[in-house]
Amino acid sequence: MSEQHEQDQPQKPRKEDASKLVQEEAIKPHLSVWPFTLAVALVVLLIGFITTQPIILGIGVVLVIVAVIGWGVERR
Amino acid sequence: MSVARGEQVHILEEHGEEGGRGINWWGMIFFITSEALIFANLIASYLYLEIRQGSWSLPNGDQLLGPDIYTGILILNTIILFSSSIPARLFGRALARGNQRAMAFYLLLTAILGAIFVGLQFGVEYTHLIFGLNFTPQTNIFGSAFFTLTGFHGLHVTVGVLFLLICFIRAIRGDFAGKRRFAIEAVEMYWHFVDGVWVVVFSTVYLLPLIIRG
Repeated sequence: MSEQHEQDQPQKPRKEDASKLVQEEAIKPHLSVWPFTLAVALVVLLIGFITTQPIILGIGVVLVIVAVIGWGVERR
Repeated sequence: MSVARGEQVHILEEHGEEGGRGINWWGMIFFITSEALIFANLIASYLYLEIRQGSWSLPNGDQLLGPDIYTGILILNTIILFSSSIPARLFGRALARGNQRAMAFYLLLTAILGAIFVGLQFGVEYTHLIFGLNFTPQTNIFGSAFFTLTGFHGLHVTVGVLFLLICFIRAIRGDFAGKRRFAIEAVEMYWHFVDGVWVVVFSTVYLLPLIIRG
């Protein structure tokens, strides 16, 4: 009886069905080498900072700047 | 959590409208929680070592907070960091309102305030301690614990500034006008976390010795 009653009831649309569907590619992050580059650059920078080696520190600073700009202007 | 149907996903998964939180948001929460646990371990280590050693003093016998200009700079630095949470909240609000120019402005303002904090911490405080007072990580266990904990936080602020600058560059290019804009929400969450951690670090490293020694 109860099952019959449930079957007779019109099914309410599920909340998620009402939500907007978008292409996965539209919101998924792109593959990028820049996060890894920035991580490596930070490691070099820290090595230069801790060991107080100005050359390594300078290389680290340059790498960090390049990685930040590269990541920022990367074509998406 | 994430429901993918073929090549389509629900936009709710990304932006978390209607009460739900997206998988990106949860990923960021897990990341911040793991960071918080690292800080908790460092603070526990700091307290353990200092209580065992019983010394909270610099090599000259002074405490970190004293009646000198460096304490003033430290307090100013703390105010700068806390005040940076205001533009951090504002760029999040600007994103929600779709105001790209305001968002870029507040992103840059937050990054500048963060850069000032890092500059004063490493450029003034550390320089004074290392070259002025000969207090280095090699001096004693207090030096090791102090520079590890405060340096780790400074590193986080540095990473936050870089994160903000990347978002700023992307914002002026109009990258956040479309659907992909979680980076702004993520950098706001990260920045508030870095600010919040400073409350605990500052209280532990600078205020606690004053309370203990009366």
